[in-house]
Amino acid sequence: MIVGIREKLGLNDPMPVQFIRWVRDMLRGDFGTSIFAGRPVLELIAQRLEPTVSLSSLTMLVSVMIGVSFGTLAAWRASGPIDRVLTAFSALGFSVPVFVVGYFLVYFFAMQAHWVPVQGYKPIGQGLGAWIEHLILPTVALSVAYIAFIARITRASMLEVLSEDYMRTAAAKGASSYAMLFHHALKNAGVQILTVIGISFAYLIGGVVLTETVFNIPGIGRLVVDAINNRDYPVFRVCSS
Amino acid sequence: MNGPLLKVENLTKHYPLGSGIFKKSIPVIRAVEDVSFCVEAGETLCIVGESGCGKSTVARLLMRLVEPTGGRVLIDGTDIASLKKDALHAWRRRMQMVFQDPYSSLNRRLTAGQIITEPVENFERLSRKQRQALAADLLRKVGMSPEMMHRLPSELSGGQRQRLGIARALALNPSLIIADEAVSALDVSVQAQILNLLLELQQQMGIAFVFISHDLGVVEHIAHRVAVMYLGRIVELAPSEALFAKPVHPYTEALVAAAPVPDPTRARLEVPVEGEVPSPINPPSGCAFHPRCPLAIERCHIEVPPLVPMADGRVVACHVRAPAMGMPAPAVANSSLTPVA
Amino acid sequence: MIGGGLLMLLIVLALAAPIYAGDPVNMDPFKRLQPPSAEMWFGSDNLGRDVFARTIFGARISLMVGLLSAACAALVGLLIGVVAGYSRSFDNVVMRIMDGLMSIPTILLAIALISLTGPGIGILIVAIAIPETPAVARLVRSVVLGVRERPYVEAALCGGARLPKVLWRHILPSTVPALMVQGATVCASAILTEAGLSFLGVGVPPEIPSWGNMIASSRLYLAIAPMTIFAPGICLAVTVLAVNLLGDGLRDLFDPRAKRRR
Ligand SMILES: Nc1ncnc2c1ncn2[C@@H]1O[C@H](COP(=O)(O)OP(=O)(O)OP(=O)(O)O)[C@@H](O)[C@H]1O
Ligand code: SF4
Ligand SMILES: [Mg+2]
Repeated sequence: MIVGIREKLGLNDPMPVQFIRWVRDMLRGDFGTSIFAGRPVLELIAQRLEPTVSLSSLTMLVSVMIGVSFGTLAAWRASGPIDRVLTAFSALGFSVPVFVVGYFLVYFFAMQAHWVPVQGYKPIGQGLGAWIEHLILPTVALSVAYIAFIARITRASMLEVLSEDYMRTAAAKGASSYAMLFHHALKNAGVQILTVIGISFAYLIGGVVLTETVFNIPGIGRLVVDAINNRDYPVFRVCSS
Repeated sequence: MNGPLLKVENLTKHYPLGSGIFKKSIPVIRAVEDVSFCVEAGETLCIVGESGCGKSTVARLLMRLVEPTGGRVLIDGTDIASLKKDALHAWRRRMQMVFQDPYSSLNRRLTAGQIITEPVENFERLSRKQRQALAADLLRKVGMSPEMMHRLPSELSGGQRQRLGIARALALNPSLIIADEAVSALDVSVQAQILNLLLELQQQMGIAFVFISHDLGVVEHIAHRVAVMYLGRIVELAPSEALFAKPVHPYTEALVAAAPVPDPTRARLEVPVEGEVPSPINPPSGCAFHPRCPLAIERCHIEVPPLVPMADGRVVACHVRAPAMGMPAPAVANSSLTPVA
Repeated sequence: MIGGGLLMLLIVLALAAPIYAGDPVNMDPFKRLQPPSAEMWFGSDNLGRDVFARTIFGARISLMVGLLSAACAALVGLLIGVVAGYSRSFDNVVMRIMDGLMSIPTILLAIALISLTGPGIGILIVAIAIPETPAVARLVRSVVLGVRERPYVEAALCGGARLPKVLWRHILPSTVPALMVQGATVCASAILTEAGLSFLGVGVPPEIPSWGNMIASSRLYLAIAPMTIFAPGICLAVTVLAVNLLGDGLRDLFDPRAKRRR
């Protein structure tokens, strides 16, 4: 039986041959059929898209808002007490794995305090409240590292801009520190921050896989992991490309 | 064969601006354009000119740190471009370079001893003892005490660092040393010491120098012959005394007039050359000097003046001061480039 | 340098594990999911294994995989970066590939590599090292590009030094500070990736105690025995923090200017 499946999928062929065949199929729009679900891979993915898109866009939103604020705040009084605290937070945020944060949140806020559901996902079509309720903890968990990251980038690029000549001139001309920070510095640092955020999207996706596992969210990340655990190659390959 | 030690023929270097997929359309920086000269054994040739006229590029072309766009460099009659890997490696021994910035041209992680013996170790293995002896010997030659060999560059003064640079150049017993602004980064008093050191070394070891500078005071002190460059070209090449006594090319004249004179009673002339140095990307037509030249005539806008030999052994490129006698100029210019001994 | 000290301590504790930590694999069906006690400081897991012993032994795996992958990534990245900094044709091709690799999420790339070959510690190290390599290569390349134009490198060439010697003596040493800082970052990231992969069930084989494995196998018992997850989780965070702090410390050490700005 196994031999049959392997033969059917061409898994006995050498790796390069398999790869080329797979690319060819992809180009034709044939993304393969899942071995386990027995359904076209594309259909599986479409179904799983909503939770993942919800989670990652919510995380993006939260992280950019908080991260940029933190970074700006830290740059405002560089090496002051606020800066120290925020720097320490960002070092910590970088170091705690998303799934550890996730379980802490689940234990304290869902299992002990019963404020939110432990896990699972409710589509947005079934009510905004339920959707948010299920997404709060995953979003927070996933955001921690990303906030730390964005705060760091923001702080660094703000300080860079602040140290440039025209900013010093602005300061000398008596621009208020508020105007300095928001009008001049943030605007100029903005482009740099946006670029880095764009590049780091890959970083976010890695966290999505883990977060979906912790909170049992039926998104693409779970699909990938299940595919691997079941050795469901067609699904895995499409997802990871 | 008794030819010159170094012979440079029609050396040209264009730096492309930007990457060139469509080769024809990219603009180039004409850093060095059709430069020819030669250097005899034991002689000092100075190259002078304003910033950006291509002096350093000539030095780098001579050392083969960059590949020429055209022209040849011959050492003892051998074209260095024709040398293959190993021969090129061996040829490096003949010609060494002293750099402008004595600090950034020394690897700050290495000790003085390691720095100055490195060239020799590129060619032969040295035992610890040999290395130390060599380092001590080289340091003594440049007037430093052998104990200095254990110092790092950061623990030395500017003058001492430049002495190290010279010691490193001496390590291979070269016949020719190229010194690109070798003293401009130093204090005036230190400059004099280093220049005297170079003169001494020349007398003792018969080393020839190509000495690049924009300081005419320095040049007058050490040069046998002087080449004046303007926007990538040599405009005048003359024996030192003749050039300073009676500059012929209008640009040389302006340079000499503008140079601070050692004699304070002689009033310093006002700078006669006005205007910006034109860009080497888009040099003026004809004589590149014409937008700034007080003598410019119609012809200067159209025709590049050839280098024309003069009676006292110099060559000058100027339509007014050195009109060509309707002869095909390059042939004459080339043969006349050897110094009149 | 708190990070360095902390990391040293963790390494010593991990190496000395067999002396004091007890048996990490012994199962006791009568002592499943026990709360922390004098006998078992962190309690026991669903198979009755000592969580404290498993956590300590888990440190060995995490640190080993992290350090070895970081070393691999640093070495290969250094090699690629130096050659790319010196050869234009190699640069064009290889840095394209590196950029491509960089745009794939680390964990997915590692999973993909492992799924090609099957599980195992060796392949795990390679799979974690590969996604980390491009960052090192880029960094080294940029350092090399900056250094190769320095006058002292040209001076070495004028002195007749051949390329390998120039690279070895004059260019490689300049990459060391940046490489060490980046190495710490890579190491932290490698430890996190290993834990993540093990947590997803594709990392360290399940019979070997690693922090990610422990968390994965105890997920269902979070409500009853939170220590089974918190203990390895906290250790993981502390270890990564130590490595990150070490990296920051190194950066300040090598580049005091950056410190003022940071
Ligand atoms: N690597 C390079 N790439 C592109 N252009 C270059 C390069 N090196 C030099 N140039 C250009 O070539 C021209 C000549 O430069 P060069 O350094 O030879 O001048 P210089 O006479 O030594 O000037 P200075 O007295 O300032 O040292 C300049 O316009 C310079 O911008
Ligand atoms: S050729 Fe004409 S422009 Fe050039 S230096 Fe002579 S007189 Fe002046
Ligand atoms: Mg120069």
